[in-house]
Amino acid sequence: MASSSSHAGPAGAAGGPPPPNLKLLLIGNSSVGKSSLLLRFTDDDFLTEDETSATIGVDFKVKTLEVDGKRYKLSIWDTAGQERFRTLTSSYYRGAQGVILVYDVSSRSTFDELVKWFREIETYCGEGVVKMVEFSRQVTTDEGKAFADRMGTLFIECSAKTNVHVVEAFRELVQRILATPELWSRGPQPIRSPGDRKTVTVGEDEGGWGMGCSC
Amino acid sequence: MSAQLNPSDPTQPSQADILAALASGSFRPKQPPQTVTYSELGPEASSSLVSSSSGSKRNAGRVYCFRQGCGSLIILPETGELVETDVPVLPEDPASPFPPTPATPSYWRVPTPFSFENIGYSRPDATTSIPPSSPGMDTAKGKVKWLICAECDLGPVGWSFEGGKESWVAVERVRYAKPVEGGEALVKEVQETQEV
Repeated sequence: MASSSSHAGPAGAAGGPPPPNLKLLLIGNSSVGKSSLLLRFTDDDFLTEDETSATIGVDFKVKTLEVDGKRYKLSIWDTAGQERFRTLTSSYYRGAQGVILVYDVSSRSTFDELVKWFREIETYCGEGVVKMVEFSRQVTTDEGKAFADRMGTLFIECSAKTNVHVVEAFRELVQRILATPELWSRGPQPIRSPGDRKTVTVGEDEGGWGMGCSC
Repeated sequence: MSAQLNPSDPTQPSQADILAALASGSFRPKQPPQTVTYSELGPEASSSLVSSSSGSKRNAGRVYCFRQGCGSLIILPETGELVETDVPVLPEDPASPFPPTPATPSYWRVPTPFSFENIGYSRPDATTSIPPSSPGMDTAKGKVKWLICAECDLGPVGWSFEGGKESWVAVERVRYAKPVEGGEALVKEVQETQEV
C-alpha cells in the first residue's frame, strides 16, 4: 500500500472544479451502535427526542472535509441494519473507497467477527479499498494494532476527549484513499476528471443514491 | 495516538463517546456564523437572499442549519434554485423550532446530494405521503426521504425521493449568512467561494 498521499488524487479546486466525492461505509456487528456515528452527535445535546427525525433512521450523510488544503465531499453510509442478515447487499459496497469497521466495547465476539467483515469487503470492494478499524476498550491497543497490521489497514485510536485525533482519523482515511490510485478509477463518479464539470455526475448509477433500506 | 486504554479505568471515554467524537470533530465551525432566518428579513428576503444573476433565482449567500448553535454549512452560494409554490410539503411539528410553513412556500432545489456541503438523508419513509403536487413528485420513483442537518440532525428541512437525485430545502427551515448593507458582502462571498 502506498504510504504517501502528497501526489495522489485530483488537482485542487483552484480552477473551480467541484470537490472530489468519496464513498465511505460504516460496518460492524449490529450491536456496535455505529449508527450513532451517523445519528446523534452533538456536543451540546440541544435536541430533544421530539425534535429529531432520528426515528426514521439516517440513510447517509454528506460531509465536506478539508484535507491537505483541498476539499472533499464524503458520503458516509450506515449499514441500515442489513448486517442482521450477515451479508450486506452488493449495492451497499459498490463504489466504496473507504470502510470504517467498528466493534463493540462490551463484546469480544464483535472483534473476532471483524475477520468475516474483511472477507466480505474484499469480495465486494476489492483489495484496494482503504479500511480503518475503530477499536474498543475490550481489546487491548496492542491486540487491535496487531490485527490491523495483519489486515493491512489503518488502526485508529480516537478519544472523545481529543477531537484532534478524531479529525485526523478521517483525514488519514481520505489521504490513504487518495494514495491508492486504483480507487480513483472505480468511484461512484468519474472523479478522475476534475477539470470537466459535466463528467461529475452523481446518482445515475442505479445502485447509488436510491438504494436505501429495502428490508 | 498511543494512549493505553484500560478497561477498568472509569475515566476512559465510552464507545459512544468515541463514536460521537469520530463523527463530530471539525465538521462544524467552532464559532457559529452570523445568520438570519428567512422571515427575519421580511419582504427584503427575496432581494437580499436571492441572486438572479445566473439566469435563475439562486441563493445569494451561504445557507446554514436553522439551529443557531449548530452552524453547519448546508449549501454554498448559487447552489439552490428557488422554486416558488403553493404546496406545503413538509410535516409540521409544534415541538420543532421551525416557523409555520407559509401558504405559498418556496424551496431551494438542489441538483444532487453532493451539491450540498453537509446534509443528512433519512431512510425512505413509507409512513408519510406528501401532496401529489409537491415539487419532484411528477418524476418520483420511490418513497420520500427527509433531509436533516448533517451535524445536529434537525429536520426535516427538506425532502428527496428514493432513487432520485434532486432535493428540495424549505427556505424558512434554514438560516442565511447575514446580508450586509448594500449587498456587497454577499457578492464578495460568492466570489470567495468560487475560489475554494
